[in-house]
Amino acid sequence: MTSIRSDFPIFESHPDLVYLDSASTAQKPAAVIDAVAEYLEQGYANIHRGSYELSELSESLYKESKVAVARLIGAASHYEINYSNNATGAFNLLAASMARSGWLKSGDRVLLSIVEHHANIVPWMMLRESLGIEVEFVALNSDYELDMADFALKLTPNTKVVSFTGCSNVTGVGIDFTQVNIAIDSHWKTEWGKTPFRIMDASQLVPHGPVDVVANGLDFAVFTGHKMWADTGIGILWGKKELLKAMVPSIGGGGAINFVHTDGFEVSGLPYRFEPGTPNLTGAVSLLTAIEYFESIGGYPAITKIEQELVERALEAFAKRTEAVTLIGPTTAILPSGAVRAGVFAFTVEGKHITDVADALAAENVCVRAGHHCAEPFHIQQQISGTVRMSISMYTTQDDLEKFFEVLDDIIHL
Amino acid sequence: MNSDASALMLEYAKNPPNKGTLPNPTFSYHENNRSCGDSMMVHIVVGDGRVTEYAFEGDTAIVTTAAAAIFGEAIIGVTLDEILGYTYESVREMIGGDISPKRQMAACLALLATRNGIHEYRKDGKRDDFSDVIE
Repeated sequence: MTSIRSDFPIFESHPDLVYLDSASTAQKPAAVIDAVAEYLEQGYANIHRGSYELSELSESLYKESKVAVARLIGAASHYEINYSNNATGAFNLLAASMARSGWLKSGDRVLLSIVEHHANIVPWMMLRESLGIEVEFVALNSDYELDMADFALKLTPNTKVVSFTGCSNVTGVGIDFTQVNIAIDSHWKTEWGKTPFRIMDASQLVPHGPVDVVANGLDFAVFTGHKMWADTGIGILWGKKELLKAMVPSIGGGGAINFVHTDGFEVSGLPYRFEPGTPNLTGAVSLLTAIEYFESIGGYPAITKIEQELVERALEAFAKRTEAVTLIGPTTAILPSGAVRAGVFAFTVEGKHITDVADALAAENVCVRAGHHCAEPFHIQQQISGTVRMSISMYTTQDDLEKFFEVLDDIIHL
Repeated sequence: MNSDASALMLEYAKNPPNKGTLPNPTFSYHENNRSCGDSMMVHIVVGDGRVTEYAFEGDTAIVTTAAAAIFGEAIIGVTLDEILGYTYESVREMIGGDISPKRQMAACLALLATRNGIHEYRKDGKRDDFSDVIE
């Protein structure tokens, strides 16, 4: 554990830092920082059309980063990996491209869960405004998992998309696509035509637990680099290759074309199809290195062990403070369904405003976040204006948690 | 690429035996490689499900020209189904050596044009891109 934390220079720069805001963005290991610096100092050049060695090196690293991402999520090919600027950008690209492809039309339905991040809500709502599609929300059950009865009720013949989070950035619980797929198989009638596209927002899942896009029966998945120890400015849109080839991009220009004449243009195939313009080259290098670093420390088996011990410790501590603190999410590390809870803890403190709680923690060098965490529909449904969110990563320690609860106790007793 | 393969490539690039057009092709197909600035049209005559004649024309660089010429000679007598299974590895074997990653698309341009020409000829609704021919 000490070795992992020592891989993150931020904790050397700030020895007293208690960083519990990793669901917002993760700190960066030295391997990533060094690789980006080395790339900019020794290997930087634009990709695609350079004949010289530096350009070839850049191109190679860019491709390697996609190979690493594909390996991480069980994708069939690096050609299925497309970069955007972040997860929100990737969702906007996906939703608008589906619309431009004629895959979503007036009256079609998109099913979301009530706990989705705005990145997986607003792009669909924009299509509701421009195309007249329906956007419907499925409720959660008492364990904060998808209410399958409500899902079955709302899975109507006009449902073209089901898009759910793999791990909520508020509750720490995701939507189980195995159950979703079983429900679709059970309720979908042949005469309704093609079953809905299945999309996962994996932004909060990838940093904590494995994602297998094939085993989950997904058509598309979206996540971001900066929450998994890479730099900001690089998001990932994964899609099945045959879908990516058929989908018409909503953005164009740059190198993403076969030709441009005065009377028209033709969009290129993969791998350039969804990446017009110069991509985030340093972001790709940071993502490549972050994944290689993650694999070098043991990958998911290693971090799951670390994080589950922290989750159990945190839940025990929250359980001792239930008179003053209300946790918005499961109170056990393993849910009755067998699902594993991630280390994201949203809560309120009796009689205290969430901003005051976050400010008081910040005053003691404890970094958390207050607000609705871009999940406003869920907070409205819970009839709360916001929550304080404490979240962990693989570099978090038991000492961090002890300090957090020590300060929290002071706040409770103020 | 080994020296024999390089010499072969240079010879084919200088004197591509099948560069030009055909009077009555079964199908022709135009393909671009924007990353290298190549643009090429292949012309193919099919007989009994096999390629019997091949020619290509266009504004092509050395590697593209040589690979298109060597590829064109290699596919005479080959069935269309077999060609649809060809990839960069097939082209590499025809050339006799590896091509640097930045020029693999150039080396595969004639293959891609031929595969898409076959798809259009067969009206199977398919359209290949470089992700289908280069791993």
